[in-house]
Amino acid sequence: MTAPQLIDADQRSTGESAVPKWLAEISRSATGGPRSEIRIPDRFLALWSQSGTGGSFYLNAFSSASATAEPAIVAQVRTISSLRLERRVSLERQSSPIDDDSLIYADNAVRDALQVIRRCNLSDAENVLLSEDGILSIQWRNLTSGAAMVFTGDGKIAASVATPGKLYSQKPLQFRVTDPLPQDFLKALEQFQV
Amino acid sequence: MIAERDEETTHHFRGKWFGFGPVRNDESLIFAVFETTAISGRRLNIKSFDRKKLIAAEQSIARQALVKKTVFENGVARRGEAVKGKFLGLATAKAGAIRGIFSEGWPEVAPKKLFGFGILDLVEDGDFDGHGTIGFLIKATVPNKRELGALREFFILDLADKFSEIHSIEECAWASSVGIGVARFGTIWRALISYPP
Repeated sequence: MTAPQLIDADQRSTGESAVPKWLAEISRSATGGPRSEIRIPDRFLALWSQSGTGGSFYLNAFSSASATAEPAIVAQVRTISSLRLERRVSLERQSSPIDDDSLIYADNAVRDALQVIRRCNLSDAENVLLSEDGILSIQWRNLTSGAAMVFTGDGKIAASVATPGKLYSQKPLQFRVTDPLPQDFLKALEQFQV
Repeated sequence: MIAERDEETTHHFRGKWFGFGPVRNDESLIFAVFETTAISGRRLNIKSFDRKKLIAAEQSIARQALVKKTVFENGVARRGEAVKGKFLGLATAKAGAIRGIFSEGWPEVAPKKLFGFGILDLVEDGDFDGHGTIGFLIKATVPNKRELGALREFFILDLADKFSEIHSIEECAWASSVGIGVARFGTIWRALISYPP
């Protein structure tokens, strides 16, 4: 066994960079790119000059980054519930004893989970468990049904929904961390908002 | 872990003439909940079960129809409180429902249907006769260690769901002396007809 270790939580877990999309777009456009002149019809200019200070109109153009620039980071609105889940996953890593030969898997599983939680803005769950062999499980549940994601630390996720008559163990879906979450699973998660 | 035929024979430390024999599917099993047991509200969850105990087939349960209330109070509740905190209540599940937990269609290399759990009438020195254990079946194994870990997580999620809400010791239907006597007679009868072993 190895003593629990702290996984560096992304600064986003504090919510500091949870910038509303509209604000992010404004700030991106304000930091660069050529100005474009927009031609205003004369009738509106006439109205403006009567009531305002006059002058020309200049607006910054959107999406002005050159092809060689780094891809723009799309800031996403993160819910408090999702930030809470992110924090619980990090805390689970800190508080769980992990077998020595599974440490790398445990850390990978936590990183994978944080990545997916942020990307999909997953809401808080009923249970978060990191097992001694470094497998991270997140379970959402209500009275009659549930959904679970299992991060195995090898870049894969197994996800399953349980309903009356269907077990978690029956036909789980398996996909890579970089793949989008299956739509059916995302839809199923909507009913477990905490 | 539990092998294919293990559930068909008795695991009483004194031998086949003692205890109550293999656990039947229609039996109700009792899981005791203490202060330190992880629960979600009034339900068991994935953290309620110790994975290592399940692998070793040592997850203790009591057989409801074969345990008197006083035996449970002394042998489980009071005894457990010494190390696990205050006794909070119990959850029950049918043995058949637990044995019925299976994996289907995953992982790809696994057989089409893979049953997860077995239940033994395991009684060791110091246990009461209505004691039993739940464990993973040896068959419920896949070669890839990571997939095996995930498979077991799903099995435990299902196991937690098979148990009832946690209720008090008073709400449980306990065994009577007559019922226990009949069950003991059945055990001796089975041992007789299978004699010599």
